Amino acid sequence: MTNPIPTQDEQRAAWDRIERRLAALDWEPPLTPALLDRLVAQLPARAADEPLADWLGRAFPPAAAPAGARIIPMQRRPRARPRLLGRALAWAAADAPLEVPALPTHLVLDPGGLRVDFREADGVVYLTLQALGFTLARLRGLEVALTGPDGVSQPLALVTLDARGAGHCAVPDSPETRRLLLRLQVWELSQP
Amino acid sequence: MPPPRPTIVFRLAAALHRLLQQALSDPRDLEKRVAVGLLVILSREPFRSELLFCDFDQDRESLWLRPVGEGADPEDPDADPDADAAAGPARAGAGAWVFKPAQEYLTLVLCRRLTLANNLMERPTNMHLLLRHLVAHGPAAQGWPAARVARLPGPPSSVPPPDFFEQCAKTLEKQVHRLGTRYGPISRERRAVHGPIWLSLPDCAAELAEELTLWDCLAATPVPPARDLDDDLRDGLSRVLESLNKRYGLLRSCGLDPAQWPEDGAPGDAGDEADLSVARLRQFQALRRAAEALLARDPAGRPLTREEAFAQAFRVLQTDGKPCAGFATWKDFATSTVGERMIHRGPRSLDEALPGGADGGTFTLVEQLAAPEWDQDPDPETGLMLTGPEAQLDRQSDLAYVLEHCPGIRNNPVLDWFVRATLFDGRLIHGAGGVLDDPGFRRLVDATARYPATDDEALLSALERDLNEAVRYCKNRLRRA
Repeated sequence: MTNPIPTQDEQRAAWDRIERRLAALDWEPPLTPALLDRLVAQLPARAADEPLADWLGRAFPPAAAPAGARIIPMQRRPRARPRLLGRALAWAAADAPLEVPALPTHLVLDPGGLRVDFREADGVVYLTLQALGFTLARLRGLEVALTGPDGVSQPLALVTLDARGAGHCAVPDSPETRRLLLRLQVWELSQP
Repeated sequence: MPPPRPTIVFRLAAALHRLLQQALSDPRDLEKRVAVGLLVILSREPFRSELLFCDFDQDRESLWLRPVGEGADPEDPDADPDADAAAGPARAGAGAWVFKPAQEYLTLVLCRRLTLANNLMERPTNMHLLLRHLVAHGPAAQGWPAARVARLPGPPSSVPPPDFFEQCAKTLEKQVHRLGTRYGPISRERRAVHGPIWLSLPDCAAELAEELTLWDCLAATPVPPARDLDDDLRDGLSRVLESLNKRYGLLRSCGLDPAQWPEDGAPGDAGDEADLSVARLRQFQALRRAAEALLARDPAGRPLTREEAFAQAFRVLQTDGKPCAGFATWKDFATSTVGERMIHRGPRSLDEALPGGADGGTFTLVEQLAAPEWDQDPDPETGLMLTGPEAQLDRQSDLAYVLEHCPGIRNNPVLDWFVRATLFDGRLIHGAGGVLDDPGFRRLVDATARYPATDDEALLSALERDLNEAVRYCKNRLRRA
């Protein structure tokens, strides 16, 4: 007879399983017939006996090569369950009616466990994230996400903290980015 | 047979079931409509993140494919095509763009013939059974619901096929000729003993090819169906997709690009490890799990490097000096193509400029590879679960226990109902039979002021937020305990 109360390891595994099932739910609305009709109507005709894969290759050709490297916004990490570590509390400059909000030299994020230093140069804002105090031991070596005030739907950068709890990244300097940085949030991404 | 568990493949089966319901009602361009519909579905969440292998070293433009004839947005004539390219995923949300890994998945996985498993004896493949489920939706007056699929030494009926069956019989005959004898040795053996596989109706029958693709099944299905597609068909689709996805899922969970290790192809640029059988991939997966577990351990001293973790894991799994995952020594594994990919290309770093990028001042964010796939079935041949704590804990009672002891869920009737319906019963959120259409769920939502009752999108956002918060709280509590 098995013990009805699972051990802590079993409970952790159960939560992992629940998280995976949650991630696999159909949160997005289904494909509509109208959209499918529109898409099929605009695609080229399929020749008789043309293999399906060949026709799909013609119908959805690869995009032209990009002109150069571009910023790639963070995509949703597979099975990453983000957890909020800290956020910049309502920073007045974010709402100031300035075209280009001024960045402070640093921000301390509540609950005082994280500090972010800003340095601007050549159209790029360089960020240094530093875990402080007790947070350091827990966060070193971990990967964290920097996001805007809306959380992980507004990703800015991913940062891996080194053994000293410090991490660096850079984002393009723009008024929109600055407004997000002034309301910065830091999320812990769970380990795969 | 019990219904499939609500895995990501089950979700895909449910989405395909819904797509077939739409597509089969209009026989024009059936294959095109299903293929394009599948591409769009696979390009969306949760499949993009949970099912597809994606090499995030690629730049954004090459990860998204724009359909021919799509200027920018047909509803927005002023849209800038370049800006459109930069907004690929958002555009895909609207439906027009497709994710390149989705196209690869369709080609590599969904166009594949299902081969016969060794343990099936005289039974046909799940794809043959799927065909029976599909044709059973034909008109009852013609006998379609009584269709059977079985191996028989000869045709069960010698009567010339009636008109309504002629089209189906011609299609099946073409498939038999096209395949010829290019089927697997197990099928050859079973066919020699038990005869070919036949699709038989009360008064007519036609031989089936030994191995079928999903598209073969659709081509032979009488359209439009006489009734709505039933749940048995959805479960049949799920079983077929589980089989088709098995090798792809294992390669993905090992961090190996399925396109570089095609099942029946030359190794391409994959080096000399062309023989990546499912059994061997399971060993690679076990190795990666062990290495990831070592890396995740709280380091008392210097954290392990990935190479050290893999080396330790390799030695642990290499019992009695026997080869581990086909490699006699750690050095053999570490210097192989597979080893190099698994050890060094597993994690991706951040802020690396794209190689060859013209603009040195821009930055690229790169994703990590997919996490190991834990949601495993027992090995169909050995019946054994893979080792490791997660693989051994498949008890629904554990899930029930932790949910009952989660205050954020237990004290929230709407969330509690939603979790049980979706995570336990495998119900969908959208569509017919989905929780959003359930009157019981609607009554619960109406009875609480916490959730918006009229805006489904806002309701789902709030539910997802509350669920994540509740799970996070409980996991933290466990971590502190």
